[in-house]
Amino acid sequence: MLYLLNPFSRRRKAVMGLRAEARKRGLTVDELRDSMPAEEFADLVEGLLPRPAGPDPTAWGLPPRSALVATPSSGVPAIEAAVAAAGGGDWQPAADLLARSYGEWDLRALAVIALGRLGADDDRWLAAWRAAAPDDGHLAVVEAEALTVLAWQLRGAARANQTSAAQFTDFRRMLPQAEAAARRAVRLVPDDPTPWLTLVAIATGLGYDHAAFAEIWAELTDRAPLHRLGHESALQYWCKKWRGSHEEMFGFAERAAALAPSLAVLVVQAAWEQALYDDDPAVWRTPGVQDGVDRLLDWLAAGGAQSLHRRSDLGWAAAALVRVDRPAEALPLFRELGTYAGSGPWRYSATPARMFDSYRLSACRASPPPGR
Amino acid sequence: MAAARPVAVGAATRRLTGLWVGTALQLALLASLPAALVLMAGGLVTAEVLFAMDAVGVALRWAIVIVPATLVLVEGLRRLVSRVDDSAVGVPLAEPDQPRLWALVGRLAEVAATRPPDEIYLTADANASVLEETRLVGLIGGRRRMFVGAPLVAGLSGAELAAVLTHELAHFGNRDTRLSGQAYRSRRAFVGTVSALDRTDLFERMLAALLTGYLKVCTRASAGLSRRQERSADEAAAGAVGSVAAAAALRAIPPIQQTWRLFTDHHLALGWDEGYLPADVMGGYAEFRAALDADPDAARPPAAAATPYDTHPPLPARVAAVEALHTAAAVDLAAGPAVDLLDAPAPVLDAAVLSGLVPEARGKARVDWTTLATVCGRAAARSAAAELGTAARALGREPTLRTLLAALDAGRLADLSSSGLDPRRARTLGARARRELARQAVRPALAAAVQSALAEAGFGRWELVWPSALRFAAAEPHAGTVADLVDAALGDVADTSGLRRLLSDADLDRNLTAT
Repeated sequence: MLYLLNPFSRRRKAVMGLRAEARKRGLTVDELRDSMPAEEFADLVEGLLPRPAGPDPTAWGLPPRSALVATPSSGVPAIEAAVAAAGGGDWQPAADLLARSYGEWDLRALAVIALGRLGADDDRWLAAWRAAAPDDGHLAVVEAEALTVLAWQLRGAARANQTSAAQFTDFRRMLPQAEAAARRAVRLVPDDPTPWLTLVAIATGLGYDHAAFAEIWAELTDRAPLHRLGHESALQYWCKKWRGSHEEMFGFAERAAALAPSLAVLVVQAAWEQALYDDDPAVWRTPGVQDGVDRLLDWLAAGGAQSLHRRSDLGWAAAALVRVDRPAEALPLFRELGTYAGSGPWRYSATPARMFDSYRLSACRASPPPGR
Repeated sequence: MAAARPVAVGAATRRLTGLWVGTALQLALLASLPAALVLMAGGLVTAEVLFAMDAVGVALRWAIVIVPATLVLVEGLRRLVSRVDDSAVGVPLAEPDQPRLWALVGRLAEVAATRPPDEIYLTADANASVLEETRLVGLIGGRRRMFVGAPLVAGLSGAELAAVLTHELAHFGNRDTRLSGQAYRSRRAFVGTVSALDRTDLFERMLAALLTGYLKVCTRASAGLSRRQERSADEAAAGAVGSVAAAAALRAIPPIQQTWRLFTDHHLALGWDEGYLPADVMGGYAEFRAALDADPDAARPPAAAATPYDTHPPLPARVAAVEALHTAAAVDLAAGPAVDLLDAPAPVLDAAVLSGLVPEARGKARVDWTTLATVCGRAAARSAAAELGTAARALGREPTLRTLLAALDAGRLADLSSSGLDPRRARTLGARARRELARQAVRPALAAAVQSALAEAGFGRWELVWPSALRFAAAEPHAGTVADLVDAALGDVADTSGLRRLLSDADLDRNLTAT
C-alpha cells in the first residue's frame, strides 16, 4: 500500500486513473473490468500509465500493434468460406468441403475444428443440416467437435485452481454427451481419424487412465500415424496439468519428433508447458530443447514451406527463439507471420495480441532496424 | 514369590502415592489461578502507586496500560471465584414421576462412589452429562444435575444407558485416587468460565486469551492424569453393567450422535416454514436409523470434532480397554431398551426434543409424516416453479404452465432462465453455451411445475422415503417418465408433446407465482 504515497509510482497512477475512469462511467472498478474483454482492459490500464519509451515495430517492417489479428483462423480460403456460409445459415458448402476433404486428414481436421468452433456458438446451421440429412457421417463428426468445444467453453480456459465448481460440473456433464456424439461419428465414418481426434480431447477432459487413453491413441494413429493436430492434442493429455508428467510429456514429444520432422514443434510445445507449470525457465536451457528448436527451424526452412500448419510452426518457433535467447533469429519469422497472432503460444493468453507484440519487440530490440 | 509381593506392593503404593500427588497438583494448579491473579493485580497497582509517588507524569503514562490490565485481571478473578451456574435445559424428571429411573441412578451412583444427582433432566441433544454448580474454581460443590439426551434414551439399551450414566457420575467420585473428583470439578468449572466469556467484546477477548492459555498449560501438564481418570470412569461403568454392555455403549454412541444431527437438520425441519412439525419425532427417528443401517451406501456425516479440552482417549482404545476387563454386572438390570426405564416415555421424550427447539416450535401444528411430506413437497415445488413464473412474467406473459410450454415450443428456452450469470463468464460464452446453462437452470423448475400440476390433479403425490427425504411419485402409468419428458421439452428441438399429453387432465392455467 505504500506505493499510494509515492507521487511518482506508476502503479499509483494506474490505480487512480482506473478509479477515475470507473467513476466517470458510474461503475466500480470491478464492474469496469467485467464489462470489457481482457485485452481492452489491459489497453485501458496501459493508456493510463505514462508511456515508457519502446521501439516502434514499423521501423523493422512489421505491422503496427493495432493491425494484429488474434482470432485463430485456418488460413485455408475454402474453410473460411464454408465457415462464413454456415454462419449465415447455409450448411451446404461445409458439407461439400467435408466430403471433398475425406482422405486429406490434415485439411479435414482443420475444417472440422473451424466448423466445430462455429457450431459451439451458433448451431442453427447444424440443426438445418440435421433436419436435411440426420445420418450424415460428416455432420456427426462436426457435432461431436462442437459439443467438445462447448464443454470447454463452459469450463473456461483458466487453470484448475481458478475454475469454479459450477464450471467443472457443467464441463463434466457436457463431455459424456460429446463422447456419445463422437462414438456415433466413429460408427458412421469408420475410417476417419477426425472423430478420434475429438475423443483424444474428451479423454483428456474426462481424465481417462493411461490404458484407456492408449486405446484411443492407437485408433487415431492406425488411421493417420503422423496426424499433426492429434499429436498436439495428445501432448496436452500427457502434460502434468492433465494426466501425465514432465517426463512422459517430453518422452511423447521426442518420440513423435523422431518419427517425422513435421512433428518437431511438439518438443517446443512440451518445453513451453513445463516452463509454464513450474514457473521456471530452466527447461529452455536444456540441450534437448535447444535441439528441438533447431529441428523446428530446419523443418520451417525445408519441408514445412507448404505445410497447412506453417503459421503455427512459425509462431511456436519465434516464441521459442526469444525464450532461448536467440531473439534476432525470430525477426524474419515474425515478418512472415505479419498480422496473424492466432497460432502459437499467444493463443493461450488472455491478451494474445499484447503477448505477440511483446515477443516481437524482443526480436526487434535484438536486431538493428533495416536501413541503418 | 514372598519376596516379590512386598516389592510389587511397594511399587503400587509408590505409584498410587504418585497419582495422588499428581492429582493434588492438578487441583492446585487450577485452584491457584485466582491467587495468582490477585498477586498480579496487586503487583500492577503497587507499581502504579510507586510511579505516582515518583513522578505523576510517568504514572499517568503507565496508567494507560496498567488500568485496563488490572481491570481484566480483577474481572477474571471475579468470574473464576463466583458461582458457575450451568443453567438447566430440557425437561425435568421428578422422582415421583420416574421412580425406576431414579432408583437406577441411585444404584449407579453407589457403584461410582459418589452421591447421586439432585435433579435429572431429559434433553434434546445426543449427550449425557453430570454438571455441578460450583464456587471458587470448583473447590466448593453445590447442586448436582444430570442431563440425559432423549436420542440416547431412544437408541440405547437399558444397560448401555446405565453404563454412560455411571461413567459421568464416576468423574465426581474418588474411585481413582483421592481428590480426583475435586480435580474434575475444578477443571469443568474452569472450562465453563472460559466458555461463558463473550468473544466479541475486546476486554473479554483478552481475558479469554489469558485464561485459555493457562488452561492449555494445565491440560497439557496433566494430560496423563486426565486420561487415567477417564479410564477409571470407564472401569466404573464396566463394573456397574458388565464390560460387554459398557463396550457396546461406547460403540453405539457416535452413530447415534451422527444420525441425530442428520435427522434434526433435515427431517425435523421439514414443513417448518409452512407451520408444521412432525407429530411422532422419535418414531421417525427410529425409522431413519433403521433405514440408514440397512443401506450401507448412505452418506454419513463425519464424526463431530472433539472440543479443545476433550480429555477422552481415542474410541478404539477405550473399547479395547473396557473389553479387556471382563467384569460382570454389579447392578441388576432388566434387558431391554432404555425407554423401558421411563414411565409413559412418548410424551416426555417428545417434550425433551421440543425443549431443544426455539420457542416458536410450540406454535407449530403437529402432523404425521405423510402429511408433512405432502406439505413440504408441494411447497418446495411451488417455490421452484415460481422462478419460472417470474421469468414468464418478464416475457410479458402470464405465469402459467401453458405459457411456459408455448415459450419452449417457440425456442425461448434461454429467456426463461432468470439466474444471474457472472458477467465475466457470460462474456466468454456463446449463445449455445448460454442456452445450455439456461437448460440446467430451468430443468428443476420445470420438473417442479409439472409435479405441482400432477399432484393437484391427483395424478401423483410426494412421499417420505427414509433415509433421504422427499420423492415425487407419479401415478401409474406415468411413473418414472416425468424426467424424460422434461428433458425432451428442454431439448435443442423442443418437444413438448409428451408433457402436454401427461398434463392433459391437469390445470395448465394455474398461476405459478401464487402461493
